Amino acid sequence: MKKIKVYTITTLGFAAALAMGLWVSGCQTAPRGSAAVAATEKGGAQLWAQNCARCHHSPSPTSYGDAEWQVVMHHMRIIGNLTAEEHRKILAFLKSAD
Amino acid sequence: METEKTMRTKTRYVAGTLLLLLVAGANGLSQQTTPPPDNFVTREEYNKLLKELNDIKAQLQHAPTNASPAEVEALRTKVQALEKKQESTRAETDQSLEEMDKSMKSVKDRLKGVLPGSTHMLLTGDAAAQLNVLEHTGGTKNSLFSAAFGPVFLWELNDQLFFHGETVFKLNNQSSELQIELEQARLSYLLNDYMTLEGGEFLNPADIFFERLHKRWIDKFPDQALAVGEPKNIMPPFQMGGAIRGGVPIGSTKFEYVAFVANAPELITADTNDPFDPLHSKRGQLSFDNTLNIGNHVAFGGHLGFFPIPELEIGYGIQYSEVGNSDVPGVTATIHEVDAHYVQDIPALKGLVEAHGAWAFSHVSDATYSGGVTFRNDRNGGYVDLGYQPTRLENAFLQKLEPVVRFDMLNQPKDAPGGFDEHRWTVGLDYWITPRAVVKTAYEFDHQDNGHVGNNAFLLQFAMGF
Repeated sequence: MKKIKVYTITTLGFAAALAMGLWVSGCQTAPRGSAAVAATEKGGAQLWAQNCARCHHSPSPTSYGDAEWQVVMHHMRIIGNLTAEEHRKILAFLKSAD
Repeated sequence: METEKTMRTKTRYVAGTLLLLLVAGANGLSQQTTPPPDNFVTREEYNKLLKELNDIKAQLQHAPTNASPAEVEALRTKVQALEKKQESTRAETDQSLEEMDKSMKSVKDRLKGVLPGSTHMLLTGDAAAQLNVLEHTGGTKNSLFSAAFGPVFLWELNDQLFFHGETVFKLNNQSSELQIELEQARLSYLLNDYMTLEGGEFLNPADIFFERLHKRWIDKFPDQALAVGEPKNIMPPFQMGGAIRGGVPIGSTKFEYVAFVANAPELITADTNDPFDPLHSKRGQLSFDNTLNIGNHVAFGGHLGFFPIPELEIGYGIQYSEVGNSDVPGVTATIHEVDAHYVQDIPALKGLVEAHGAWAFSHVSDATYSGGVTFRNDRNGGYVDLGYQPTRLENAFLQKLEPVVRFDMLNQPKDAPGGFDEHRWTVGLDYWITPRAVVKTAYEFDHQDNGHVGNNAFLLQFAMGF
């Protein structure tokens, strides 16, 4: 009985998380409110400085070439929970600065 | 005879294919060759102009002193016109060179993209060498060198699919043999702008220290904190299962989320007979190396992080599961963790200030362990640390130094076998050779309760990420 309860909670938890993610993904085509615009106004250099420094010293943009930065940033998008826009801006900055 | 004919046919196929590839490659490259722009100036033209200007300047210098003012003025006008033309020519040349550089880079990038066997792969990782000098209360010392190497394979299969593989090779006091561990094997798929699906073995996302800060070239201390770091962790370092995760912007900030299912930990119910076994006298503790999923239970959990300001992240992680084996049916374990991380460059302090903290709480429901032992199985512990690096000082040596201090603690049930409380103060000094190479020194003051002997220690570590 208890086991069934645990699996039910697990399923409900994941369903809720999935629903939230899908809801959020649906929002990406909707017009953004003024508050959301504020987040998108940050430039690639600013996002790079803020997000990388949270965990480690930021390596120089010249540490890698464009193709390598593409792989590194894909990795960082996952582990750092970056949004697609943050990822895109930081990668563009690194490619322009390397 | 038949074989010879077949070989000849094959040779023709190979030769034909090679020829086609050669033609296609040449065609592709020729398409990428861009003609010189209209405003391109050759080196010869530039030198000719320069020579003409210098000749006139020489004429001006050797001009007869009795030349009329009108002649001198005419000559000066001519020089000024030529100087202007030279400046304009130089600017055009610079612009042309810049455009050529851009074209060259574009061609090189395109060429990389069509090379056979080229993939978006990166081999990276970290390595460390360490010295631990343990000072026992009786005055004896025990020193030990150790080393570790952790190669990381990152592979971007396409814009959505990504693989992250990581192993660790270690030589340390846990074993006389080389230890090889698979630390991560995670396959990820970007579902949309705000959500990633992943599966495999991955660092525990409910414990930010393990997931983001434990790498030797990132962690500011040569050893890991009690309770949230190894070896005395009450949070699992890894999870074997699946997860969804991402970040969602909210106004000028955002929140992060991770939800996962994984193999549940195993509850240790009996001591082993071998006193050298690391699980000896650990009744009531959770074993997170449950790759066989003994007990056949599933753990679920997650982590939520929020940034009130960009420099500060606060988070909460949880994991819940049924644990144990057939000896203790229906026993559950709940593990929570709260964490906070602050990193800010402060010009007034001429440097970077970092503070991290995490506290974990573990509760295992009532169980009767071997020997009829029962106790309230609650544990908690964590750490707070502070670092300051004067990155804005002009002195190149001083700006690479980072003094650090940490307090960490682990509280265990005192009536449990092997249970005792422990707390430590660690002070250290790091020298950052590069952003990814560091020499760390630290001294640790260790205090243990319940009759256990604390081990103060001097620690030295050289770590690099690559």
